[in-house]
Amino acid sequence: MNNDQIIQKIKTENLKPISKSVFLFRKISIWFLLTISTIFGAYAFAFFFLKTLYIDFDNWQYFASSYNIFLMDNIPYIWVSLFILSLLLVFYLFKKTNKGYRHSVVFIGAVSILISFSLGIVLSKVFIGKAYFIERFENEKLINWTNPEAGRLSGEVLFIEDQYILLRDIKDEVWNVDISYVLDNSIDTIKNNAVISIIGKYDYENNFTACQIMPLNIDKIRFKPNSKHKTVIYFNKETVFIKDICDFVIKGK
Amino acid sequence: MQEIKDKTDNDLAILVRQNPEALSYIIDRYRTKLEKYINRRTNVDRHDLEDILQDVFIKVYRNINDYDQSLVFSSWIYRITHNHIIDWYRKNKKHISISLDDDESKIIHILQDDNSVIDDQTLHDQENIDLIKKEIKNLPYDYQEILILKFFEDKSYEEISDILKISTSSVGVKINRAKKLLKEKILK
Repeated sequence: MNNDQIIQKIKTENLKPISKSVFLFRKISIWFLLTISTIFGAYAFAFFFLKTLYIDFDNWQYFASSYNIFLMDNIPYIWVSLFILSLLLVFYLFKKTNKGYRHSVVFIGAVSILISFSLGIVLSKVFIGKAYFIERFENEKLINWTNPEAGRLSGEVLFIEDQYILLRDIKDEVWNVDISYVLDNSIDTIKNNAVISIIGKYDYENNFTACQIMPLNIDKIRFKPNSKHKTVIYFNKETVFIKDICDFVIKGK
Repeated sequence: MQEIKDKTDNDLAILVRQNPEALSYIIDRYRTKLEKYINRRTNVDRHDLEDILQDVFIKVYRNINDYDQSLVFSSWIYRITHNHIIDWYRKNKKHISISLDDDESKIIHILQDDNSVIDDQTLHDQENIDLIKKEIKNLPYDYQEILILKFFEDKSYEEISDILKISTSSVGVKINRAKKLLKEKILK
């Protein structure tokens, strides 16, 4: 092979250098996808972060028989998976950039996690401003607290009498709640229009006996019964903890 | 001719963009180096070697607009060659085979700083050189290619990083692992 053969081949086959715009388009596409993936990762992280803020970590014993089971049932797997997926995509695309390969795995991993975290926190602040997302998570919390057969009820106090209160739950049903047995520290929580959570026993249709009443840290403005949000109920069973408290309180009085 | 000799690779790349004939200057400059490199990486006969080399230079011409001047031109042309060799293996479904016969003195450099394997005096024995050669051929392919680039092509970590598109730290790790594995195989 000599030089002339190669030059001749280029000429006879009319070969031309691939246009600069083709390479430029490829570079721009990679950076565009990289940006989209980073924003998506941040979005997923923001969702995961906000959802985590609304998990009832302090009251896990009312929902599950162990903390681990509670965690397993509450971790927002979809958002965690999407976050990890976007991180992998960012990692892959960054390696495909012109000089991305020069950086180590640890560096790229750390930077992409840092950017997604920071942007995620900023986005979550924006989401807090947009009540839709918060309302959704608060509703989920309310739904979890509204399972009378499992010993949990929540909602807005409509009316207070000596021995009972009227309570409107998230499904817009009104409950007659017997409060004659509640623990003494529950009394202060009961106020008109307060949004509360109740531990107790389901008696019969729309009748409930309370053992313990706690405030539910949910913004009253966003308590909208019968809202359109569809939520999943994770915890259907009464825990031993609820049963023990109620047996102790009701039998004790 | 003196003028062309004085031109940098970058200057030649700019010339090729304007006129395909200028490619012959790049061919002159890199033909011997790439011939040796391709032979080391493929161990093919003369005919196949020429074909591969011709395809590499045509790829250089076709992709000249992708050449980033912040990179060393030599690394860029080696990267094209490296990628073409991988494509060639894939396309021809040939068994990976390397050739280390052209410059046996370079083999010694791989283990020269490690006296625990073979001491300095006996390292130069033909028998030992043949043993090292044989064991390099038994290494995984990515270890073979990195040893070839480092010890036969005399490339720096930065250049290998640009050719193989991996970080310099990965280059260091791979070279050390390759040397360690080679040492284990020799000591077996």
